[in-house]
Amino acid sequence: MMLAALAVVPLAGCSAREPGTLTVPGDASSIQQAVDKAVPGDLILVEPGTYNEEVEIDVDDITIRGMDRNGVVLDGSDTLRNGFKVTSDGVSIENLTVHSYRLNGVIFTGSGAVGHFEEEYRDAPQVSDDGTVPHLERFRVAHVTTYNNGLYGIYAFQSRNGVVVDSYASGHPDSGLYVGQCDPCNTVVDGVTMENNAIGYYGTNASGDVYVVRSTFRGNRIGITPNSQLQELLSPQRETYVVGNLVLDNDNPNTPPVARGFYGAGIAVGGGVSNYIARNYVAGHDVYGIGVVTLNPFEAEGNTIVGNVLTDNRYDLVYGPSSQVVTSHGNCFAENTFTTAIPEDIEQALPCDGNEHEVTAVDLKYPRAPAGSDYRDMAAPPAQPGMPGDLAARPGPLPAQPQYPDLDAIGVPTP
Amino acid sequence: MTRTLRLAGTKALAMATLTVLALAACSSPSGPRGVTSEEADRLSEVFFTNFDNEGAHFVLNAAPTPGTAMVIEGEVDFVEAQGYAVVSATGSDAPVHGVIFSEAVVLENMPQLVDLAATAGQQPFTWVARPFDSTAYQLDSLLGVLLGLSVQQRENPLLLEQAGVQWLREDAVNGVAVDVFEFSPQVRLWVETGGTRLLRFEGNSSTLDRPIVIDLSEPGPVTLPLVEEADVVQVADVQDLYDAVRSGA
Repeated sequence: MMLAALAVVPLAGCSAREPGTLTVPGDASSIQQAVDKAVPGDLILVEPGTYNEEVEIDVDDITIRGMDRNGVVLDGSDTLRNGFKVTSDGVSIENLTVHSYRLNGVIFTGSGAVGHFEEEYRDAPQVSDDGTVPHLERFRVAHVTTYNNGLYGIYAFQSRNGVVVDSYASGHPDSGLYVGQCDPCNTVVDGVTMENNAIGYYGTNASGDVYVVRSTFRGNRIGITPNSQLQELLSPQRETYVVGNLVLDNDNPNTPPVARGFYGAGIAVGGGVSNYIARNYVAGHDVYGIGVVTLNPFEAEGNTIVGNVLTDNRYDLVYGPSSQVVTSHGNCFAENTFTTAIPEDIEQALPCDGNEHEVTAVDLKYPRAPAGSDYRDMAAPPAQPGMPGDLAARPGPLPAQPQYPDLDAIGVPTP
Repeated sequence: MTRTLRLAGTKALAMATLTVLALAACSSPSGPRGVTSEEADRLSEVFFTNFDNEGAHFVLNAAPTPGTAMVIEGEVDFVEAQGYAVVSATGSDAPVHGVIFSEAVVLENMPQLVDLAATAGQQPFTWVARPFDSTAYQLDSLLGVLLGLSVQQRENPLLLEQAGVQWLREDAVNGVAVDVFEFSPQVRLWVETGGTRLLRFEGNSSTLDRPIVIDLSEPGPVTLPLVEEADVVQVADVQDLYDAVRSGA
């Protein structure tokens, strides 16, 4: 008996194989079983069906791909925690649906135990990476639908060099998509649709080459919010490019409420630094279209709001620092199409001329957020377009850094 | 002989018991320590679980100011943020014997006020209604803490773990095994072992000298007692008497 056991160990130890393709069910009865068998470079193809499982991935460089975006369904039944929890580098999740998990649909996290960070990282943003912050590296989410999970649909925490493309999230009581606590993030969000969540895109302390482009944020409580907060590390947030998005009617009371009470804004730069908000179409918001505002204790600084088209908002453009700030603080507004603003002459008061300008204090009144809906009762979204191409083709490893979009080539979208 | 054996046996049993206790003490995990991912996941749900359970029976013990004490026992509706309770207090809340409350309105049963009003020729009533005001009334401040134990959204477990929330020890509340967690020097939670149910909340002021302890039991929906309009008087209609009773005059 002992001899047999000993004999098995060296064999298992020698079993590393060339990467290939595993099918579920077929080579494995569950997605988790396939992951447990996987080696770096593997493609796991998942046949249509409902999978009631939590998948934890700690193998580098694997791809999990559904064979039918709307037919491969991970269902947490409001009982399981995360659809996919990824703690390894270079993982892709593609072409499937994840719903009704208590926490997140898909989460990538580079955070482990308490104490990963030295005290000096708590406040000092790292302009250039010195390699000491243990981010998860390289991730990809493509053609994934998430809905009605208890926190976030797609969540990248302390993770970088990632892409989230052609994906969809609805019915989340926090945000559909969350990129948080990373620096530099080097992350591209392109062609996603976020609707009927509390928040569409939430980017707390997500700094350095974050691109949110060519996407739709519709019918949430808040559309897009790069923001700084003390409760996460690496504050303040800076350097997110929000370009060419359709941002519509993010004052939907029939959504799950977010605890902090945010409501009624298209794009809110909350205490963020050096963000670039350009050529978005922003319409139909109860409070404001684009706001550059304080988020206690952080002041917005050095943000550029340029070339956006705004209509049918309570205020199209808002500059709302705390009463401590009596200048433009490096924030500027230019070449926007708009009719209403605080201050009224916002492009004259805060021009993009590189100078500081005195600004009269404003007192913006936020309405009380409506009570909202239980996220578990939100309607399932309609079927979403599947991933094109040969689904059986095994992809190469994800690049060290994603391809950044050519911002100059992105214009204002048409509603 | 038999007797000796029995004694020896008893001693052996006692020693065995001591050994077990010692082993248990050695193997029992000791805190404080940072929470595990699994514990952070559970903690992220604690206040949401209260919301989801809709309501509970509660016993609130507090010493709102040095030398005063208050016990409030009743039922709380965590969905509608309302409830009712009997009150036993010293200090300015001493005249209040019962309360029906929401985040907007507090109905107080104050027998002394009822008697004084009757003497003054007022129509008889059971309840006096006033706006909820946690800055003006210690009673409301404590009820506000109670209502704050329910939220419509989970916490982010990654942030709880990162924020240094501590596991302190094992314990039991009313016979239920719990883990005790420390959110901050101001807040400790007794949470069902392996689960997400909150059995006890201990809160404190920033100076750590005014503890509030809330025990929760019997989770489930709560129905508020019906109150006849004729049984309620607005505080403005008996303001002088109300103030006199509350000030102990």
